[in-house]
Amino acid sequence: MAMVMEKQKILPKDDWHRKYYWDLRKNAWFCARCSVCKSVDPWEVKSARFSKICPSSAYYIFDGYSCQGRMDVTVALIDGELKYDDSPGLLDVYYRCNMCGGCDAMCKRVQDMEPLRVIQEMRSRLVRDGQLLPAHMPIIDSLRQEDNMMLKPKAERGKWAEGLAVKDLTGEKAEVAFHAGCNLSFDDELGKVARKAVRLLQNAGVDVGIMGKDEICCGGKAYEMGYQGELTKYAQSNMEAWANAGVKTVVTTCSDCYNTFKRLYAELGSKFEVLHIVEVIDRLMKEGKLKFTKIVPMTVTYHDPCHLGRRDHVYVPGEAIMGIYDPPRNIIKSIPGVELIEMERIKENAWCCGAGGGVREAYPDFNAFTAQERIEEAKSTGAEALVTACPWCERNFIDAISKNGDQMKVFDIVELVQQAI
Amino acid sequence: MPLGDEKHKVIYNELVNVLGANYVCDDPAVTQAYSRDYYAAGMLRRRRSEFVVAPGSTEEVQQIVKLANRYKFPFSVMATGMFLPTAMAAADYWCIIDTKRMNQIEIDEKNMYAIIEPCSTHAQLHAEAIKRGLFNGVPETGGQASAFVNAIWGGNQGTGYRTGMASRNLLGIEWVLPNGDIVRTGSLATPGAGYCWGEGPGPDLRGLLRGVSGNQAALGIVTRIALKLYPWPGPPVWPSEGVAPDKKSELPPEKFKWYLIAYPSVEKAVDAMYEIGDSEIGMLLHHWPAIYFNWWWAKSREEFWSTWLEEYWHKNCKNVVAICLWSLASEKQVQYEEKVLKQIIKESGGEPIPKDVYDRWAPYAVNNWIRDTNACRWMRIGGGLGNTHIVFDTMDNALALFPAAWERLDKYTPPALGGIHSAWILPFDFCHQALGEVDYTFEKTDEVCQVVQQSFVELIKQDRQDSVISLASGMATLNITGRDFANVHLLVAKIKKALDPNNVSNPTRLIDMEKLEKKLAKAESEPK
Repeated sequence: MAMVMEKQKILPKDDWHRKYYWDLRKNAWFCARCSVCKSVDPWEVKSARFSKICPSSAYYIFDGYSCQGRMDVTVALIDGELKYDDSPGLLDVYYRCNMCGGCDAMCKRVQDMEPLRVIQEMRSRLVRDGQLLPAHMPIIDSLRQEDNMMLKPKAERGKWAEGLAVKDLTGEKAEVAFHAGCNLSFDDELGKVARKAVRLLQNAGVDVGIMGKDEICCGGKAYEMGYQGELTKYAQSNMEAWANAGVKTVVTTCSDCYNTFKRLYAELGSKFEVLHIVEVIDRLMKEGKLKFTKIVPMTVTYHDPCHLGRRDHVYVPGEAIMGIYDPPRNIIKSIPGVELIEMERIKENAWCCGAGGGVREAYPDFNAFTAQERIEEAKSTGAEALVTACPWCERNFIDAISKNGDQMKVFDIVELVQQAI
Repeated sequence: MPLGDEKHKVIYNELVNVLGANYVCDDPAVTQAYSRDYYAAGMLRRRRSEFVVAPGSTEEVQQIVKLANRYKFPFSVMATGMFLPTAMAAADYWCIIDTKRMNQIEIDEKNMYAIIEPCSTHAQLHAEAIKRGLFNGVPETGGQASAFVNAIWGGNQGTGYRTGMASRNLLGIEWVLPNGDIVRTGSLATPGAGYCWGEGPGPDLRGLLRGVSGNQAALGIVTRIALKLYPWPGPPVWPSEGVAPDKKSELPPEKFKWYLIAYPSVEKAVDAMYEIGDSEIGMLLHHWPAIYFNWWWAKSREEFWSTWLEEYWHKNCKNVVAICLWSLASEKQVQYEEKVLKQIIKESGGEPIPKDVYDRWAPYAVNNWIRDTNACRWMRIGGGLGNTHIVFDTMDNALALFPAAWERLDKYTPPALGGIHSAWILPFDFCHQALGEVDYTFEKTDEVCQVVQQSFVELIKQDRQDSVISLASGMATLNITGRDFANVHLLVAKIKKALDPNNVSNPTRLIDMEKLEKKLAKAESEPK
């Protein structure tokens, strides 16, 4: 047997392999085509039925609609192997994606890459290059004219807060701004969640105010559709309004807004503390400022909103893909009478509600499929109610349930808390 | 590519008639996703197919194949798609059959087998099986990969020591031949007998599937198989804690007992492995090179390279034999096997690796070999994975070929990264057969892929010269290698001709009929 010769250590020439930094092409090029982006972490697969993580790949089947395919198309576009005119379906490849970050979490887990950032950057490029998805254009027009993503007149924005005795931050000052977001502001059925959240904060002695009819969109959804400029514009306006009102902390019940304020605004220089309502409630519970006095006899399961969960993670290679996983679970478990039964796919492995990334606005069939898949999973736990912490998720679930005639109840976590006090 | 021509339109419309518009696509942005894989060859020979289709049943596959024969268009097939160099488009009008919709799993608990479709992943099958106290071997590619594909070619399994090569677990098979006929083998050939048995009336056709690299769907498309399952003494749900990638998985120690034993040399390690095999103890048995400890432990590539420079795993995990004892029958089995193992360790001069080293590695990585294997993590280090030795023979043969493989590795280092001689030995069937593998990582650039390809060609030449059955020689067409292996290409050509008269089933792969026929005709016409 020849002697085992130890050669000198040969290290990669490209420093990227040893000290990660963001690089669009490298992230796309180094896709290993391993398909981890399509399924939940194999250690977490509990059944064949609920083992997928990518709604787009599950619904559209072809690899072009998976994270891996999007990496291939990205490389082909960058290298000139594929041109915009070559493919009538190119926009669908990038936009038939909920931007839920499931693929991203799995790829970070195994390959140390950020495919969601690739998809995001490519969407921005498409918009910059005039490759606009027709279904998104009316939404963006509405945003530009009415400051909301709901195709509603801005005059109606403050209706959810009518009669609510709360500081008006357009003229008053408060330490905390409660941001209702576009969805709760214009959804007559869900607006009550915002009202309950404000009352809850007030009852706990928080110095809180709202922008009311002058509140504007966070810009996050437009950003995910590829409209980067909209994000900058709304970030500047919001930050200015908060600063003028002496706000230190922004609280919201919307996971999309939360993620936009906390992560995207921070990249634009924001120093405001940003909290989701579940973090505030969890904190108030721990400080003894919020006590549950009523029994709520109910079995529930909890849906991790993508933007509150895995998408809250700021990527550091090797670090756990943490999100706001525990606070909502702490709250639910603390409510007397409530039993939490977990679904199979949770936390970084959670299945999306379907509403994100501009899918609800552009691909209603895909959106409905994704929501229904989650409802089926929730039903499989035997729980009576599906609890979440984002109005986009709640709206999507309610719509799917009403369409399919399911009996499952859907609550925002604030509603559950309200029942217990 | 004749995307807009009349033949393309006719084929597209016919495919839509069979499958519906949702499951047929010819958009270049979609077919681009099928144009490469991680392998060096896959990177260099990128080509889009003209169509991709997604059938939902054996009958739909059959209809696609019949269309292919009628309109003379070539097709290939894929499942989860990690390894595609033999399925990528190689000609005009190429149609890739993506089997993602075919992912059903049925488990026959009483008779201990599972019927699965092409896109059933290992993790799905494993999750369903362990609920029922059953287990299937884990493919090296990882839990996200197809359990089906692993079994219809020379797939490895982490538990191969006891469960054999994956293909040894094949029972009944349903198979669409290249001419569109459906053949059902094993017990399926007997009406009402189901999938329970591999052998059946007539010759055992499984041999046509089970080469080292399979038949690459050049002899049709297998649509359903039954796989043998084994007893699972563990919990019904896979245990894990933490958030990825910082996760642990620990199985009940009274039912699963791991030993990681270091030896002074790989030869000594192999001697001990033979002893273990003779004693028929354990469920998993491997010789792992130090680099594997680094690969599986590091939670990021930064961590990989920093521990690589520290040489932590190299110093602490030299020539390690890894064995896991399972309580297949009872916990007493583990207790008994542990006594036998300790005796073997003592007599063979092995030493368990230090406890702190074991504790640093095992909870995070060791049970991967039962559930996930996670081999795709290899590619993150530099982007590519290469081998200078992948031989299926015996452990002795693996040992004998390692020096030449290391020499080849040295020759190609750099661009091969690392600079250490790896030596993975995975024995099958209680050490009667074994895989020997020398792996390396490389930076995935076109230039380096060229060099890696060159090293692969050299490896094929060497394997032919040594009459070695390897993945390398198995991947080459039989036109090249057939004469080194008892002229098997002539036999396969007759089979191919009979089953695929129009040469539409992944043509040029396995055997290039056009080239062979030209060559044979030329030989015929030459004066004797």
